[in-house]
Amino acid sequence: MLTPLRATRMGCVMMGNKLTGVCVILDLLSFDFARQIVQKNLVLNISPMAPRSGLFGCTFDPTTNSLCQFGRPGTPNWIVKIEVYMDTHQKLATTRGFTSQQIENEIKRTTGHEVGHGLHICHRTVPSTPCPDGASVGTVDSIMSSNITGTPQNDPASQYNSADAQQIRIARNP
Amino acid sequence: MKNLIMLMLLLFLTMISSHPGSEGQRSDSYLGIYCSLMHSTTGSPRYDEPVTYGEHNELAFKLSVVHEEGGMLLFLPEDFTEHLVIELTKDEERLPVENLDVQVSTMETKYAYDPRLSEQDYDPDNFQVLEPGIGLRTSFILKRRDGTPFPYGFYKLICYFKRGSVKFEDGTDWQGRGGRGGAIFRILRVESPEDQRGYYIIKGGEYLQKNQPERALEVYQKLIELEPENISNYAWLGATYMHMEKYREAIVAYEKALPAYIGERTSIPYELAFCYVAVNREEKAREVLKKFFGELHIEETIRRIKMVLEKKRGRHKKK
Repeated sequence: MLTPLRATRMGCVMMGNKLTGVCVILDLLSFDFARQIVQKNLVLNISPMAPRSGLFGCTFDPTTNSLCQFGRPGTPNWIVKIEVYMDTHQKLATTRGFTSQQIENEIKRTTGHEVGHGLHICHRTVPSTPCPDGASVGTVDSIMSSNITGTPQNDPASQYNSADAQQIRIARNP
Repeated sequence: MKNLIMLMLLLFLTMISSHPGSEGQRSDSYLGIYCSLMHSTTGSPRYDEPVTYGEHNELAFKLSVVHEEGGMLLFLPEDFTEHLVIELTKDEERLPVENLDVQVSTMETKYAYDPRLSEQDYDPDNFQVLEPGIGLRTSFILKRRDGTPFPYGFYKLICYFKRGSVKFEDGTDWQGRGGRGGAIFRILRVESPEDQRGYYIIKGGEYLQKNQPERALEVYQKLIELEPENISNYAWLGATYMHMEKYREAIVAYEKALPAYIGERTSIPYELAFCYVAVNREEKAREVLKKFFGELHIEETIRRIKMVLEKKRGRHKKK
């Protein structure tokens, strides 16, 4: 059985307070469910309440001045923090009839989705927001879809696909 | 000589297998305990950890207990909340436990978090058995016995079960991995407009959770007055009207907020679509879902919204 994302696992994600790609992907492979942990964790916070109504998650880089990426891909190696908001996910039970299982699935999807932004991957299938750098995002669902599907890990909508992988950019350290 | 070595090796292996520490204990299971402060946000630009603002006479926490792996069932005692140890430190200094009053609520939810388990695969009313892939969720409140509020500062909460209170199905004590959880958070004084914003957001959410939407509306109106140019704040009003089932008012608020959410992965378009369906404007619901999420899943979303609305209306009829 997969084990949850824990402080020890997140340790390898850190490099000078920046998110590093390879470790994140390794972590996602063993990722089951991430929650608030005792140790201070600069990279991933599970927060009870969103700072903006309805927000599922947020990827921060120093240029966004405490605001989210708004669907933009993160600048390589600049991501300082990712947040996942519990209240917005829990509300899916009353607005969309999601079961607790689907809500848990969606929390995992959000975490993976935000990590994707951290690796410079865009939203997909959102007609009003083309990827700023002109990257092709494809037309089928992936974990980077804005849609909230509540699907489990084995569904394509909960996974990265080749169009996502091609967008990954990680700057080399100077 | 060879025989002597073999004999010593055999003796050594026998000693290891019958070590007293391994009797009555197993260590092949991970028990996850997770805790988070309710009514807090990480939106503060100053701190990474969750923050809450103003004086608090009580602090509310969500508590989850999950059995992450292992081939055997874990048993929690019927009064398992009595066996929970809670430690609180403020600015790295332990607060004496005798000065704290802990009120654990009755069990709230039993849930499956393993995708291989369906919701029907377990008895949701039996809270003593913790199967792999099953979690329990409850909440508790901390107060100071002298009735004074918790001072401003940096807090760390740790919770775990008393030794021997968790057992495997064969009766042996659980001594496995994990078993400790907790939360870090700050209680801050409201000093800046950013703090004031956070205070209003947290307070509004607290009122909604306590089913006091009128008070939530008051707080969110103040938030809008504080940041009149920030149209995204109207979404809080929309959520409150939705909670009150005043769908027409909610539509007005959400429509005002919607442009601020273009390009974000939020629930706002879903909530607006919900309100449209509730007032029989399904075409508008389809329009907003299509605009924000494309063609996929529109009909499934509408179907789910109708299902929720039917449930709500069914509950009202029963009342």
